[in-house]
Amino acid sequence: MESQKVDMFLMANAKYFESHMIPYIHEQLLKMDDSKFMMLQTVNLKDPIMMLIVSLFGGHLGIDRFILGETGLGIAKLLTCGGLGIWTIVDFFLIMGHTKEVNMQKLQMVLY
Amino acid sequence: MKKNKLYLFILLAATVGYSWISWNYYTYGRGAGGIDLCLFRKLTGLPCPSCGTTRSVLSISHLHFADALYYNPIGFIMALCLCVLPVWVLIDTISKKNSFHRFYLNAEIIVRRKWVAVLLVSLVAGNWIWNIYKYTS
Repeated sequence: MESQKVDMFLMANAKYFESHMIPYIHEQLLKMDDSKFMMLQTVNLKDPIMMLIVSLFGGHLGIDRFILGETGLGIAKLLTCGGLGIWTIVDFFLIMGHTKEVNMQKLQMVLY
Repeated sequence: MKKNKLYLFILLAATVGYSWISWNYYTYGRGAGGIDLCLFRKLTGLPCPSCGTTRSVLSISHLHFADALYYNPIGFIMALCLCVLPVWVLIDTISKKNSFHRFYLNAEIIVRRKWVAVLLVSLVAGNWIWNIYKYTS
């Protein structure tokens, strides 16, 4: 893919990924075929800040996990009072990193 | 979710679950009182959809099924999960199979279907309303 397009994509979407993954993503996007650019634009990436807010307000009911597509864990969190309240608090700190991980997995599905 | 991570999660959750239930089993009714860990109830003053599950599971362990249903029907699901899942996961691990992992992935696909999701959400919402009614009345 053209370097200009890659830079444009990264400028708009860098916040969705871990900073140490950016050079790797840059490298992979440069190798990627141009025809996949449209698919790349349509990947449904989740905003880590939004997920933190969802986790703060709806984490007790597992809504954060449901939004990330982890239905099983969402149900587990919902039925156990947010993992006895402890899992909810742990997720306040972990959910942003986890969202970036999930975004990376989604991107990798387009890349390969 | 990867198989090893899922199995580790289930075993950890079952350990915490059994510890929590046995702690409450020995303190319940002895004046020591249980610890209230529900953040939702502490913040809003209203019970969450799964409040009462511990009491429900304890009632099931005493074979008081009507009480269990009254405290929270989710207790039946939880008691079933506590009995079945750790055993299933351990059998899978020992026999090096992945039947539970396959079941989990299939169940996730089924639950994501629109009508199933709507049905489950309405059941949980209905149970929540009943829970709030029981708590406030």
